Amino acid sequence: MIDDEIKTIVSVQLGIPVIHSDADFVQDLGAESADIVGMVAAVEDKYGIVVDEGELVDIRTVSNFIDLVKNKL
Amino acid sequence: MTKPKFRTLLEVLAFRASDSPRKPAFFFEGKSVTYSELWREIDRFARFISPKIAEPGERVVLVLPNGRDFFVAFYGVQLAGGIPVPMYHTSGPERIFSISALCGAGAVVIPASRLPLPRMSNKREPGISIVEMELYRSSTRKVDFPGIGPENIAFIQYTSGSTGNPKGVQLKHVDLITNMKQMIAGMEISNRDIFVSWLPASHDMGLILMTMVPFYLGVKLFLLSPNLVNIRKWIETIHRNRATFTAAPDFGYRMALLYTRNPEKFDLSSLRVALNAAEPVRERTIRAFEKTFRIENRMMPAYGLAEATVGVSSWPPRAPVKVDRRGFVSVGRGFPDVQIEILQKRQFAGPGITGEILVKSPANTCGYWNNEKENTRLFWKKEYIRTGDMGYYDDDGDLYIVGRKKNIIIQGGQNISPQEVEESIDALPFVRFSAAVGIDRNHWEGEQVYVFTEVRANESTTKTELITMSIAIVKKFESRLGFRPGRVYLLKPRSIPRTPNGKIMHSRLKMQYMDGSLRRANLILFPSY
Repeated sequence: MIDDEIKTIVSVQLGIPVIHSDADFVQDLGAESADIVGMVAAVEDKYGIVVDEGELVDIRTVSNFIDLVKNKL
Repeated sequence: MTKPKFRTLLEVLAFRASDSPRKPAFFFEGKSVTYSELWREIDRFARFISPKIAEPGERVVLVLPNGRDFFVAFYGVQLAGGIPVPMYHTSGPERIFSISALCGAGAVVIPASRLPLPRMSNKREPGISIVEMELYRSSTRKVDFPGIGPENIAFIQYTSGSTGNPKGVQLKHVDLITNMKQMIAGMEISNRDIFVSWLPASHDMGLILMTMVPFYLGVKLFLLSPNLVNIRKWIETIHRNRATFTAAPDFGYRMALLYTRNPEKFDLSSLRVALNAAEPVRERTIRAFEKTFRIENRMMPAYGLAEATVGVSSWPPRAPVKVDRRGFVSVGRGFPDVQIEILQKRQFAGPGITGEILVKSPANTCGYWNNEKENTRLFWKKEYIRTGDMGYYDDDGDLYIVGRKKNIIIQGGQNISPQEVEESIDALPFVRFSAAVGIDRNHWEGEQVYVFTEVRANESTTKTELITMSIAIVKKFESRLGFRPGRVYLLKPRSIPRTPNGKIMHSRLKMQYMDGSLRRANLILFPSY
């Protein structure tokens, strides 16, 4: 459930449907740093969590991002 | 009788009533109102309202729809020595009472159908009387009227300040006469023109350009109600009456394109001028409208603001429009005696440099009503008014409007004009309107472009469809600007706040998003965060 919600957030942010959780943000999805910022802002608003700037370094794939969010819930 | 040199609007109407009493002043909903009838009713209304005007210059707020009563009350208040303050006829009680308090009005004139107004005990100023419009018809009072001259304030136009309090632009009779002459010369308006207008008569373009100018010249005017339902009627009225002059903001023409079925049945070739102003002018609208209705070089981009009475500049009639490489359509050069400068770093800039547009014109307002703070901000070196619009002029001296100073979005050091975003998003088939605003959540990302989009959807639209729409908006944005927006919101139709003239109120939208009222009113379809 949460996986799908986060995939939707990523899709809407990047303007492309995201099917695989293993997709690499930069390599596969062509994300830029501003997009990551937008996705983080979106999950912060949706789940009422706070993500530090430092934590973004480890986010490479969609599943990394899903895990990061889940760990904060 | 030869036409005298008019000094006031009342002189114009009194002259028409005696010179051509049976001539229709305008046609409204199939009926004509002659100049003699109009003047007789103005006089009756003036005698009726006179006791509410305690001293010359007393403000009277008018909340009346397009039609005879609007003009009867507007000029009747002037004749009785008062200052009319017209408001859009559907304004709610809160706005009516706040404007009344701001201008210190003695009375509010409103149709019986709107009464009683809900009580606003905390906002309602003591001493404001609510006057039912229809009551004037039985008035038989005898009164002497004060003399009205060119230096008297003819009316106060409240401009929809997007945040904070609206500002009341004071316009004298001389300002109106001067600006009418400027527009008549600049747009080559003549006594052979036939006007069609659905713009609200309570607001500058609809009031001054589209009703005062026809009265001034004594030409035919077909007036419609300012509802979007009238969009089809608008095109039909132009067609049926071989009209030559009409005006609307860009969105009016976009609506006409959307809702006119069988455009081939309408012949708009009589149109000399289809003025496009009060909102950013889009090249695509001009091309599509002219192509659909098989006309050429009739849409005339123009620029103006209430602080300069109304008209400042326009593209010359019958000339192909000029578009710069960013897609901005030129609004031409200033009307006679209008001087336009671009202020950049406190200096006048040369061609090609974008800055705040300043206007020097004999029709400039003397200032806002009772608002010293804003008046200080309004004037530059006493002679110029600061328009708050950003623009530049090219090597030929033709002006381009780039955006509103306060609406420019700065994302990652890049200046983004909301209109550029909106124009691109509005081209998507499922989009009604969009509005781009800069939002800074006070996190490290800084100001981001948020795209609010009214979509053709409702509660039964599936989530997958909504996601698909959002993705399409992001793609479209990216293909135009080269990066992606901070966030995209899909809204229900009619959620984006707009002025009666159709201008998007960016700051108000931003406020409604930030304070959560957009969400609370259940206007956001997607996403839920």
